[in-house]
Amino acid sequence: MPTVLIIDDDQATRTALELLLKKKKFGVFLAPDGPTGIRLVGGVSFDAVVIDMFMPGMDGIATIRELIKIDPTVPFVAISGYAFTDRRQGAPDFLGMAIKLGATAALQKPFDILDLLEAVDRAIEERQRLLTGAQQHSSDSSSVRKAS
Amino acid sequence: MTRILVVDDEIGVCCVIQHLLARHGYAVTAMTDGRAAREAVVCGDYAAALIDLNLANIDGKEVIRAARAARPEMPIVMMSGMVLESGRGATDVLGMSIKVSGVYRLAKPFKPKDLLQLISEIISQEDVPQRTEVAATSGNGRQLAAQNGCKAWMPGR
Repeated sequence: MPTVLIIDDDQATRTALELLLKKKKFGVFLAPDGPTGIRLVGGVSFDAVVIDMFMPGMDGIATIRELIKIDPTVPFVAISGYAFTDRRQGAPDFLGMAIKLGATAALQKPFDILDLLEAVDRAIEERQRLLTGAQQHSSDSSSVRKAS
Repeated sequence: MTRILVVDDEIGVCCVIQHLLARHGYAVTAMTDGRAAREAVVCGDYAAALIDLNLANIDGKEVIRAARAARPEMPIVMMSGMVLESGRGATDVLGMSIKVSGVYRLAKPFKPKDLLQLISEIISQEDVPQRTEVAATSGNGRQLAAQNGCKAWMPGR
């Protein structure tokens, strides 16, 4: 059962995503803010993290940077109420920044639940590829060492 | 129902572990306080205990020592996020404890399936008396190795 961590300060969003993902047989865990999410990722390696960009205190971008430090292979899906075009209105393009930091997908609220499920599935697949590649690389390296 | 004690100063991590194990039929008692954990490992009848080394009140190693003294047959999973490569001037806490007999090691952050696999293996091993300890095996990103008498288990990343 793949595990997904949802980091969002909005309880209604957390609850909605929890119900949706649980229905799809994911193990779902919730964090109401960035620091809580970081502490959880420090203990458990989740298969995917869904993270809101706009949260009081530590925002989504700062949280993602910390998550990557703890677990560089952690796949994440960024969600936000702000559009990419908000730059013209003075708001930073957080979703664009999340993509640059390696987000599998960046979804603007309100998003289609099918888009979210597809993004989470893709994030989990990417992680599997990363982990498989790392194991393969490790195996190749040990073969080289043994050969020499 | 198999009873397992989980001790971690991070309540969120306790909740995640409790949830994961409960889903697989284990009865979990979770606690964040080191002193309470020290009493629990001595008085409680647990099939296994997962203990984080970094606790708020007292050192996790103290809880483990109390558990080994009172219940030497109870398998213990020692958890820590302070697993660092040697030569970087940092302490490899889990590596240093490699000679502690009967203690399994689980590096944080761990994958849920690795935790479940480890618990499953521990419980099944304890159910089979005098089972020969596996020397070394690997697969599915995990490594199980017996080194210096320590049942060491480190998930692959």
